[in-house]
Order: sequence, then C-alpha cells, then structure tokens
Amino acid sequence: MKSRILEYKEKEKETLLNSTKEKVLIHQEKYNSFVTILKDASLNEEMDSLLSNIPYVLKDNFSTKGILTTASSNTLKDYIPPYSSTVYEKLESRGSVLVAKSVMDEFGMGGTGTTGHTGVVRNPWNPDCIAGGSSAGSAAAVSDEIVAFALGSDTGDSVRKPAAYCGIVGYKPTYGMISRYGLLPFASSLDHVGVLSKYVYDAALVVNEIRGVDPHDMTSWDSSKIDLLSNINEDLKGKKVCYIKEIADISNYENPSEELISILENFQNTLKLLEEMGVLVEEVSIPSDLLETIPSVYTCISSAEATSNLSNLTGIIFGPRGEGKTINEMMIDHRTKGFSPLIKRRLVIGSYVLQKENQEKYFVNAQRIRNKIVTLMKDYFKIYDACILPCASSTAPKISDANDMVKKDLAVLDNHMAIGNFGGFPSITIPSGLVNNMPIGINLTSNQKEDSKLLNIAYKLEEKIDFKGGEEK
Amino acid sequence: MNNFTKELVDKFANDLLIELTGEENKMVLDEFDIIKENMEKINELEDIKNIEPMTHPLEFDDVLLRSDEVSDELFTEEVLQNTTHKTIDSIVVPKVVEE
Repeated sequence: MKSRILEYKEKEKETLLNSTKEKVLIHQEKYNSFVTILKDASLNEEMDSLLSNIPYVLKDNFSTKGILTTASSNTLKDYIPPYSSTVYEKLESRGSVLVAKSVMDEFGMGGTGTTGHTGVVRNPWNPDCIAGGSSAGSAAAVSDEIVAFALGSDTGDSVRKPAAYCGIVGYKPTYGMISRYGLLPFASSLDHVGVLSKYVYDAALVVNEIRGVDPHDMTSWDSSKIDLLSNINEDLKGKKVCYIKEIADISNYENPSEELISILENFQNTLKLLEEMGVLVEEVSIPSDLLETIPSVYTCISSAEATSNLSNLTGIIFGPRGEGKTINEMMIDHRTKGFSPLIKRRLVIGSYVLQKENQEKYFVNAQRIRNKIVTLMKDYFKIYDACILPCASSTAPKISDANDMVKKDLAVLDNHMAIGNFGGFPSITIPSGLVNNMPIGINLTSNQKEDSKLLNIAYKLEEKIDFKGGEEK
Repeated sequence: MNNFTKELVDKFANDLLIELTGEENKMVLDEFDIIKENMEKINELEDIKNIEPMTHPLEFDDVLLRSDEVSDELFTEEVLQNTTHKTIDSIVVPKVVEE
C-alpha cells in the first residue's frame, strides 16, 4: 500500500518535524509556496492518532485563530482571525502539526497561482511553469515532498487542476462532507474543502478524519456510515466507468497540438488499464452545445456569489482602513486599493449578471443549465460507477503564458471539472503519466455520497498506473 | 445593453464600492466582448425555461437547523486586534449622522 502518512508515522517524530521545517525554508526560496511559515510549530505529545505529529500545510483561506490568514489578498494582509475553521480544529485535535499556510490565487479566484499578494508560486517539476490554482502553494508543497498532505479549497477545480499540474492527487469529497465553517468563501454553492496528497490512500485517510456534521455549517451532513478506507482495495471487476466522447475524443479537436495528442493517447491507455482490471468502459454523449456552456455557467454563478461573499471586506472592522471622510469613502478606498485587477474584473462580471435587466437572462438561466447538466450526470451515475476524463488540454503552462482567459476551442476540456462542483459530486485527480517531462492527470467523478466507490476505483487505478512522480523529477 | 461603455463598466464596479483605474476599465472593456459572447451560449440553449434554477447541489431533506441559542462567542479583545481605530471595547468610525 502506498501512503506517505503511514510511512511518516514510522519515522521518529522529532526528526520528522525538524527535517520538515528545514525543507519548508528551502522550498520557499525556490517556489514561493507559503504566506506564513510556522517556525515554532511543535509536536503534540498528548495525542496518538493516525494523523498525530504528521506535519501539514493549510491553504491561506482557512481561518486559524491567532495565525495570519490572508486568502492571498491585500485586503486581509494583516488579518488575524478571532476564531478557527472547523477543519483546522479537527486536525489540531488529531495532533497534526501545521507547518505553513500556503499561497493561493486571491480568494480562490484564479487557476494559475500567479495572483497572490505575496507573488507567483512555481511548479516543482519546472520552476518556469505555474503550479496551477487556486490551491497553488498546497499543491507545490506536496509535490516537492515537503508534507504528506495539504488542504485546499475547490470551487471550479482549484484542488484537482493544480494536483494534475504538479503530479499529485487532488480529492474533493461530496459537497458538505467536510464543514466549510471558517473557510473564507468564494462561491458558497460551489465551494468544497479538498485534500492534496501524494497518494489516494492519504487523501482518503485525511478526509476520514476531518469530515462530519458541524453545527456551524448547515450544509454539512452525517457521513459516519461511510468508511472511505475499508473498501479502497476491493477488486474492480464488474465496475462500470464512462467517459464523455465530446471531451475525450481526439476527433473533436481541429489541428490538435502534439501535446494534446499525447494527453489523449495517455487517456486511452488509462482506459485500457481499467479494462485489464475487469472494468467495463463505455463512451457516453452529452450535447456539445450544453458542454460549451460550462465555463459561462461557472463564471456567472461564481462571480455573482462572490460579489455577495466579498461584501464584508470593508476595512472597517478588519483589514487596512481606507482613507476618506465618510464610511462610504473609506470602504471604496479599501476595496479599490485592496483588490487586484483580476478580482475587480470578476466582481464587475458578477455585478453585470446581477443587474436587474440581466438576472433572468444570465444568472438564473445559468442556474437552470447547472441543473440540466447535473441531472444528466446523475442519470449516467445510475448506470456507471464513475465518469473518467482527462484533466486538461496541456501540462502546466509557462508562467509567462499563464492567464485566466478561456481558450475557445479547448474551453470544455479545460473547464469540465466544474461539473463536480455544479453537482457537489465527489471528484478526484490522479497522476496518469508524463508528457514532455511534465505530469498530467486523469479525473474521476462519481455520484453524490458515493465517495467510497470513487476512492476504490482511483486507488486501484493508481496502483496500476504506478506513476513514478518523485523519482522522475 | 449590447454596447459597453467606460461609464457602464464604472457603474458595475461602483455598485460594489470599487473604483477602476483607466487601465483596469480598459482591460474589462477589451475582454467584455469575449465574455459576453461566451455568456450568450447560455441563452442559445433551447427548452431551459421550465427547468428549476439550481441554487445548491444537495437536497436538504436530512438537514436539521440548529436551535437558536447563544453558544460560541467571539471575544471583544480578539476581534479588536484587527483594527487600529478603536476604544477599549468598540471600533471607531467617522460620525455617520450629519448635523
């Protein structure tokens, strides 16, 4: 069984923590993954659990009482939360050791890891490339073997895409399985807590420990009857998996690049591995015109929800106080100086779709299409245990080429993982190979609350792929 | 509302208490055509009018609302550490009622 956490449990705990602290500092110099480094992090001598004394990293949008929490934004550059997120409290109660808080795209709005207020995060596979976002620092730290796991948040693919770009596992469980209390929100109906780790087993283990009903989060639900680890090694014979031909078939792309051809070949080879394990793999279809709406549906809903969620950033109660004679002037100054141009652009889109004359046309229709896509996927999940797809149209782009603009002909391939957020479906990315010496991944998604089934397929497939991540860097 | 102008973009931003620099306004204007073209795909789909708008991914059948009782509280001292404009137990703001 491959598990960094179980491997680390065998190490002498003080040696593990000290070497982790040293690695954190070296990593920071090269890749800029961290907003805050907790140099005084100490062992928990009282606690003995599966996660006790395992060092970990938290994305900087999880509130940590008494510890700087910035969401990589100038609006919160000095913010010390007066309370902690539930996941942080749970990990503390298990005795895990927080060693750093990681850089992200500001408030989670971005997929590059280049927009944080402390600078660009670099990919450990090639420092000229992005780590992906928004959970950029968490992904880079796990990829560089600094920690066995890190937490991230995922609103469109913000755990799973950087995981793919960095050659690691990114898992977001069913919506509400993990409490979002204390997670600084981006778009509440799409936000999920997720785990980044080297191996599937580790991601399952961490989620097993931090999930559960939370009175502070009314969208959390009781998952105590689900054990994410007990079936993880079950034989896959008889399982059924589908893929969407409009996304995965090479014939959909005019003049595909060599890179895209290699990615889709790798995908076909991955399907063969599933078939070798006795899995029935079938092609299914979703109309292209429906799939092509995914980026816009995501943009409409997430930007609109963000305008509401970020309205508490006034600089009055917390955050740097803006200049002005009146409260209104102060709030305008705080928000104008604090938000980066990218956030302002997203908020302007949110404002646009929420204008009275646009609400029905864009925002409400986007919600209708969300329903249509989710219903279609649920119909497929009545037949299939999971849906498998490539994660992206390319390996991690160069930092100089990175932006968040939608690439027209590749928009669906690069944005389909948002379906997992539309439906709250459990969804996981695992490394599937290398293209041009950079990692690529495949994505598996199952029906709501069928996380065990999803993890079982991902675990067995990971075993079969045998990705030599660390060794080949 | 098909033609975006600098003034309209400023209005969208001002609704959210944000001011845009000339450069930021231009950036939004430049990409709005693409954004709008993408968003129009939403309206090109037929037969969606009778679909229920989805506001949340899960059914709420098994969710119980907690009772409305005071439980955890934030401590004044800890809340006040995030502002420099304060008294011993309050945050100071400019006078909001004009004379």
